[in-house]
Amino acid sequence: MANVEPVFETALAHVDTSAMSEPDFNVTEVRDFACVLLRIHPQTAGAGAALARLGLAFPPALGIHAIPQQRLLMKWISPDEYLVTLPVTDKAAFIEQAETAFAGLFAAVVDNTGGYSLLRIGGGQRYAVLSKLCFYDLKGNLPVGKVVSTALAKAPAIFYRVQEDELYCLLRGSFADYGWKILLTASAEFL
Amino acid sequence: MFLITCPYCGEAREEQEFSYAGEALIKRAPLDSSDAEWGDYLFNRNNTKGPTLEQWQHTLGCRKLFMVERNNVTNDILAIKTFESLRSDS
Amino acid sequence: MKRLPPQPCERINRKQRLSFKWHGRWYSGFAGDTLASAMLVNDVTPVARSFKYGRRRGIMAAGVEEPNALVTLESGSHHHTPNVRATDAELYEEMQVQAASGVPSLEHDIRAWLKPLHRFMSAGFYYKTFKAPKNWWPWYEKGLRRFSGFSAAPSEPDAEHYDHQYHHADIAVVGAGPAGMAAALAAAQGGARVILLDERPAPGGEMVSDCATDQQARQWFEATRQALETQANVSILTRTTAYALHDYNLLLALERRQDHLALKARNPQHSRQRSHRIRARQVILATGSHERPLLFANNDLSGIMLASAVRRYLHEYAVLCGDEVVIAGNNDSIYVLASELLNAGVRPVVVDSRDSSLDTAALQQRGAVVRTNHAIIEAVGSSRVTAVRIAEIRQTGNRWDIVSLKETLPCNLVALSGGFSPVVHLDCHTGSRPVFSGEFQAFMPACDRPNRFVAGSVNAHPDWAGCRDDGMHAAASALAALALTPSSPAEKPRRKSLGTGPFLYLSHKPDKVFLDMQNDVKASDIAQAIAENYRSIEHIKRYTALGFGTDQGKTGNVNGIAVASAVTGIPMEQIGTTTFRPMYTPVTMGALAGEETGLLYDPQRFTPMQHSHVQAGAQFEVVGQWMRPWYFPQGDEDLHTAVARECQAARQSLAMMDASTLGKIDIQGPDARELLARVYTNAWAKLAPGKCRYGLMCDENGMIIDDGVTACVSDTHFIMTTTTGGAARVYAHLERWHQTEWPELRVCFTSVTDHWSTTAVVGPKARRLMEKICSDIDFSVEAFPFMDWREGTVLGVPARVMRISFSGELSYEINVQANYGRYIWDQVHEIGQAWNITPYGTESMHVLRAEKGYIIVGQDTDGSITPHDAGMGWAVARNKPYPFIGLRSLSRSDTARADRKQLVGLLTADPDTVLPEGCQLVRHPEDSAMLGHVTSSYHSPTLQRSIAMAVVRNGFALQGETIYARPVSGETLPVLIRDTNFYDAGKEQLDGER
Repeated sequence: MANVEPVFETALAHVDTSAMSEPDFNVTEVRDFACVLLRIHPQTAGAGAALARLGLAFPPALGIHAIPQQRLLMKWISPDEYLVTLPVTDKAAFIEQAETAFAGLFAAVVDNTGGYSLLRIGGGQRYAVLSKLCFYDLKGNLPVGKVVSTALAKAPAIFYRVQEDELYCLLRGSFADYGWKILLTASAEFL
Repeated sequence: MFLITCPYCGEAREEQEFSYAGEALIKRAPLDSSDAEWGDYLFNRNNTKGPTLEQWQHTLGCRKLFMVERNNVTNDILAIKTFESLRSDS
Repeated sequence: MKRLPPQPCERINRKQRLSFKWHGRWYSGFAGDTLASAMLVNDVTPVARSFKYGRRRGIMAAGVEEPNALVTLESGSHHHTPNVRATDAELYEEMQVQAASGVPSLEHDIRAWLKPLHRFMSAGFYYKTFKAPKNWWPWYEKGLRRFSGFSAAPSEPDAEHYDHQYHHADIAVVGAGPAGMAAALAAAQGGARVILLDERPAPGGEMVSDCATDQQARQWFEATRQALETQANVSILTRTTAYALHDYNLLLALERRQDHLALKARNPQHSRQRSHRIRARQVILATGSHERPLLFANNDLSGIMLASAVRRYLHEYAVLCGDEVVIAGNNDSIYVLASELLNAGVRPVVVDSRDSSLDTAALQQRGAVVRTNHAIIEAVGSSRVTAVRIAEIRQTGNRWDIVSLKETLPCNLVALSGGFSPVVHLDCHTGSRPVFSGEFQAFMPACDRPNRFVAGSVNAHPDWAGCRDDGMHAAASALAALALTPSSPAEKPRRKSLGTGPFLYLSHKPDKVFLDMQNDVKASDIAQAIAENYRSIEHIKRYTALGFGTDQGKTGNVNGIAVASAVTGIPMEQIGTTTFRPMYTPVTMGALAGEETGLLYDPQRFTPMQHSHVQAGAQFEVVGQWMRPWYFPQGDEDLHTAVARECQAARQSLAMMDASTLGKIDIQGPDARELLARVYTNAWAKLAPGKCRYGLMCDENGMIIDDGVTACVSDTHFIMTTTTGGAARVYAHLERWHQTEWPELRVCFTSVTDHWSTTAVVGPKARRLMEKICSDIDFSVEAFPFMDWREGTVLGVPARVMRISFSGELSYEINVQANYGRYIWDQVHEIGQAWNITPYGTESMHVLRAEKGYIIVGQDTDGSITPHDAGMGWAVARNKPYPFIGLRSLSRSDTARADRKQLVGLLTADPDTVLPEGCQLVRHPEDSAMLGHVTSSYHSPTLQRSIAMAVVRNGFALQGETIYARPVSGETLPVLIRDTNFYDAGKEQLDGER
């Protein structure tokens, strides 16, 4: 068997990332992130305790429970669906711990790392650009700590903010190229 | 293009985030229905003008389905109810 | 027509001369001119030929209500813009302008020569004349098309681009005249996020004319404009027309970002026009009103204009539209214009249909001639107006009569004011009907939908101060509705009256009294429609074409309703208006598309292996939104040759395919197995971990809607695959049934389509390759049977390997996390070189499965095919405890018929003939009754002949029979019916090389 190291690539690995890297508007694909979905409902008996064993708690609707030291964000997507993003190297252990904590409960842990591309969007014109593509009021209605599932033009997209001057956009991996292209087009007049 | 307040997400969202999922509260006919009864369940709908009870799914959002009472002439949304609440009410 | 010395509030910049070309000649104007004001000052007339009769027309208005002056800009080029109104086209350097009418030309029009026949060309004449003989219609149509419409459509691709923008506002204000400006400022000062739109290049609306003569107006305007510009929470969009208002205050508007710039001066990085989509919690409509012309014979002559337009040209563009002027009307505004013309050195004659008033006396004192209780009955002139005949008139009940024919007044400009119609369009888009007010002689906006207000002249305030106060009142109401102020304002401001008299219709030469200039609809046409029993206004509209044009009847409709009222005796309020529909003014298609054109029209979805496919020179096929490799041509191979090579490799040695696009749904929970049993036709109770099963999914009507292989990970964990195109639909289907019908089932669904990438390794040598790249799975036939799956490590990556086959050959599908997908693909390709591994695409995939008779849902099924129809009754398990979706329908009388369309194989007599997919099938060669159709058809490289699958009525019973294919073009062909498994090399085929 060939002795080759596995190559880990994100969806936009082959895209020229310098294309949108101005102070006015910049987009980068976050390469080091893993994504695990926790399917568990707060009303399930034992759910709170199970999460507590993981150091987590249920965020409210459209909310985020953050563990900054672990660079872990647990995002509310649905009453029984929480999207956890965390460093790639922490994923395997997290999944194992979560499966253990959920044992015997009606709950599931689903690795969906390959399923997403994560974009970090910044720059003074970020809302001007995004307002050309997204019908959600990102500027007025996405404060720090909120996560919203909506659309970026014709692609499903999850937006969230953990910091004042930038926001994150999770696109499904197969839509990442499209998302990049429409951001390029929409931002052309600002770059 | 109307706005629907998703009862799970707790805020008003554009209609484009949702998918219409048919008339609400249709009970599945039993296996021993006659062809006429089964056909009625399959194909006949009330098609009312005015307030109707509909199912909508928040496909681009939380993916939950819920019931909407909408006036299909004016597009005014009169009520939104979760299926959980309807079941616990009855 | 001449340019006056500088006017106090003029919009033009006399330091910047601009030139434009019109029918071979160059003319000049100033920056700030509209094309119309520049044409007027240059005495360009006619600007158009009318639709039916070819009558010479001039410019009538100053705004979007203009019916005549339609032009084509930049004709024939990449900037070709059809049907532009000269009145709101801003002049730019070297603008190239053509008339949008005139057959064959503006100067010489055939229709005008047909004048003697015009009296036969009234309403309804087209279908009465040209409906027979029927077979002459294609010839008629060709001829009629030459005369129809206005500008030609563009023939070159648009050189410019468009975009969209979404907005969220607390209060949107439409119209930046005095009402809109006042409302926007008050709303913003009250703490609301405000967006203010106006279709003109700068705020002010009709008030600009007032600012020229009224110092107080000017001061207020300047102060308010400044305040708005510096107010932080106000966004102002000029050159932006709100063209639709939809439910829940969705306001759509079109901004003309660069249309006013010379072509060379436009920035290619910026969109030409932008579609704005505004959600506002409250909307204030300050859309103003349109003046109505008066009705008299030949009221369409060039030089007959709206009085407010004459005013605007005077003040905003310093253009005097005539020096021998007759002003006629039924309201006080005519005296304002008369006074201003006197100031400009012109002595107008004023013809007031009402009694004398204080205004009359005041004007007479300044030396103007005023005739009260008079009206124009006819205009005189051929290419333009040269005189008008006026008469004393009297109203008796509803009728108007001519008392005595008085004078003929020579003139070169006639300014008309028949009253003002509020611009109600946006208010009516959500279904409201405007209400006729006798007090204001106008249809008033109903404004009965929630979260909406009207203010200004749309609300019958004729003066700027009243508009201002009304705007402030509306803002206060809107702020209160948003709970930004504690209470609503007390009273609405009182309206000043213009003393508007009733509609005046004299029925003198009604066949020359024009209502709708764009479609040449006359008063006699309305009378004719009513005589022919088209009495509803909607029927009158359609029979006469009243209001059909690009101007949507802005200056004609209300007059048309008045004529209908006079003819029938039915009051205006009962007749009502026709339905108002978006767009308020035409919107170009590009602006609706925005940037979503070409490659961005729909997302192109890619698998993780895309880069490798591109490098390998793959040709792609669109499958739903996915770009899938279609075939991998080597050298200059065509599709046919490449597919032959790819299929041969798959059947005889080794091939590989990217199957990542299939939908994958992770299903977990104690009731997962039960859920599968309910949504699929087959049995799931005994599927053990490590095993896969092909599942057939039906809708409640028993028809196949999807299929795929589902793998058992554990008793409470399954991975379902769906077809590529069905993924989202099936996902929604599962959620819908679970949440609404089976909420007691403890199961959850997660889409993992994009998480898993799939490399299929196919062919007799597949085992050899797998053994080379994965050492912790035993690939022997005994240890790893068909339809099993194993967890292992492939090339250092955790993988799930499934032994499933869509080709009938030995086949392993390597599933890894998408981030390693391309790595796996590239490595398999490299390591597979030892067996000359051949990548193949969707075309070969289709051929290979067709050779085995496997269905593709959506190709061989169309929503009317049951499992039994497809020959897959074996997949239906009837003894499951819960009736699965579709079960009951399988025994419906129609579904259980023996002679339904059934899936069969077809062989053409000539092995080289490939039937077209969709081709009709009949029992006998002369039959036209359809027996079925071809669903899949290919040349099979394996069998070296054509094969096809088809659905044929009673197909199973017709095995061995010959039926006939009837392609759309070409001869009828005999085809032999057989089973669908064309290529069966025995069980050995599936196990490959051991």
